[in-house]
Amino acid sequence: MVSQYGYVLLFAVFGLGFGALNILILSPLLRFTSGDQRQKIAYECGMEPIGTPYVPMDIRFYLYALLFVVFDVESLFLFPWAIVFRQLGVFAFADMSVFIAVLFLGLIYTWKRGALRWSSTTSLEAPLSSGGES
Amino acid sequence: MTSAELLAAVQAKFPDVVEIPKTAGQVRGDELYLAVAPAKIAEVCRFIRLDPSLSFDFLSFLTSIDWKTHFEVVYYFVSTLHHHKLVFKVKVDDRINPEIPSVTPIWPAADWQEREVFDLMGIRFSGHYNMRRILLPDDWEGFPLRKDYVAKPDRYD
Amino acid sequence: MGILLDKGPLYVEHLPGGSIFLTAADSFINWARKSSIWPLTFGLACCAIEMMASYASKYDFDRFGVIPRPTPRQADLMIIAGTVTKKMAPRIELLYHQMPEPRFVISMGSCSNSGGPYFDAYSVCKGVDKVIPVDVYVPGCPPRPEALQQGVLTLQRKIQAYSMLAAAKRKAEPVA
Repeated sequence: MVSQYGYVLLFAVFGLGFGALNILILSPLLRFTSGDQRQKIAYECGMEPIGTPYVPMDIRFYLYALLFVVFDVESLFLFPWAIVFRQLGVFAFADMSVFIAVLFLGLIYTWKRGALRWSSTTSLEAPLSSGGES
Repeated sequence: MTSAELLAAVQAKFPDVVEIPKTAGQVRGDELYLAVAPAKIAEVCRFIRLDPSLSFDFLSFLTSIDWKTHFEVVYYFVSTLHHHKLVFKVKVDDRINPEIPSVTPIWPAADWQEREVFDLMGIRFSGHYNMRRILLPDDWEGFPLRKDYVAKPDRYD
Repeated sequence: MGILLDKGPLYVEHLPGGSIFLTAADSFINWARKSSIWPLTFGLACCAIEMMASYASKYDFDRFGVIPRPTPRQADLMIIAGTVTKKMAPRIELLYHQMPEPRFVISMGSCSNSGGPYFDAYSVCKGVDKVIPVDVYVPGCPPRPEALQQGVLTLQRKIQAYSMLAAAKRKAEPVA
């Protein structure tokens, strides 16, 4: 029923509204500020910050997030299937097996390509650089 | 090697290096103290590091003294191979712009110690790749450990 | 300061029951503030060891609600523990200004109180109060952990004594 979702909307509006009220309206009215501009500069252990705080993000986080989304959506599809698959018979089982198999091939490909490896050193017993007598 | 052998080995190559004898009443260890001219210090240090019978591979410390008439830079070497020790005392006469060759290419331990000597005494080490202040703020004027240093009061005093 | 805190108490005071509300609010807010003082530990020298000892299990600081924070953004107290050199002083100033208000400063030990045993040195700042305002001075060289905890308790008494109404009145009238 549409009216059932009306409660959800009300909940969302009040939740977001209360948060916005606190953060945007009440807090600036109630808090102390020194007005000093030095409070706003980036923290660098007491030194004047060098450069901007915006550094390029590590691409590996994006790879992991992407893989997670793919397999999470796969498991999302598995849930409703699991509830009704007894009534649907063998065909549903075979269908879903094909689906899982295709995604499993994708997982093997990702694994072999090294996208799941976090660090790039090839061996733990890498030789230490020799100091050498000058 | 004993002190006599060390002295002979060094003087064979650099004849103008003299020993500083222990004066009466001076409290000193048994190490050999040698007076080296400032211009020659880099060559002599390279020799004592590389020569296999001497092989002084450990610079224990590098410091300086202000004797009011001149400066003196003191080096203390130890050989981890042969277990003998050696002290160099280098007399620097120039009080306006004292300069002495750096031994950082020979012992990397000299790096920060020479920077400390420059920071507090003002003796420049030529050939040092990064000759700047290390302990005091970068914009400090003067060299505090000199005997004629007068502190300038600032907002923190 | 926020508009409500600057002007609010002056109006609320005149409402019926207003001053009771203000004092009750004061005691509640000050109790909350004093019971969860989170210091930015600024251990510089030997006093830092005594400060660490007072955090450790024998003289436990956590029972006062004192939890050390590594960044000034999450701290409301700064314990200056150790000698303040002239090289360090501008950094202390910047860190103090990066702390959000309400913020407090405890100067621990003789060196940060007044320069201490190194008063005649060319490179020592003669007391951290030449750079930032200090609320509590803890004497000692170094002060024992119990002395530092006494300092924090004194600061708690100072926080409890804060009054919104008095602060608003001080702000309203020009400096005499």
